[in-house]
Amino acid sequence: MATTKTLRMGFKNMEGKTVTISLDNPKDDLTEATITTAMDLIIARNIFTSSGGDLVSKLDAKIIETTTTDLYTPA
Amino acid sequence: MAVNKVPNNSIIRLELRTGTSGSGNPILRDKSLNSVKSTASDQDIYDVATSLANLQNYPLNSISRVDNAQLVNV
Repeated sequence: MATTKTLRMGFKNMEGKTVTISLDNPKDDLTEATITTAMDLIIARNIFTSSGGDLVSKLDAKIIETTTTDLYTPA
Repeated sequence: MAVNKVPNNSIIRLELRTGTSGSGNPILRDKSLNSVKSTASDQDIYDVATSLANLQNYPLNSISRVDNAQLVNV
């Protein structure tokens, strides 16, 4: 059984659609302040684009844990 | 007739050290962030890339900027 963690940051673009940026293996001691600082920097520097325009606001940030259980593995 | 170079979106490539191999060499993995504006400054890309890498457990080995462009004959 293996567990992997992914940090998923959601943004709204100019058309109001959601754009996500995902990072594997986030640090365990991440705080809301650390993540929102990074997200604010992304919006402030405005270097990313999307099919619906620039990223304009933060939507959410989640850490998603995925547990994988092997039921059958060929020898 | 001349060929024009039209920039497409750039890519940020983070090279992360995910571990060490049996012989002691670092194991590296690339994380690409697409849809980066071709007009973005190197400084802005560097600052965003380091702040994103700072959220991860993997140490950052290098940051690359990959610029793409299309050649059009006009």
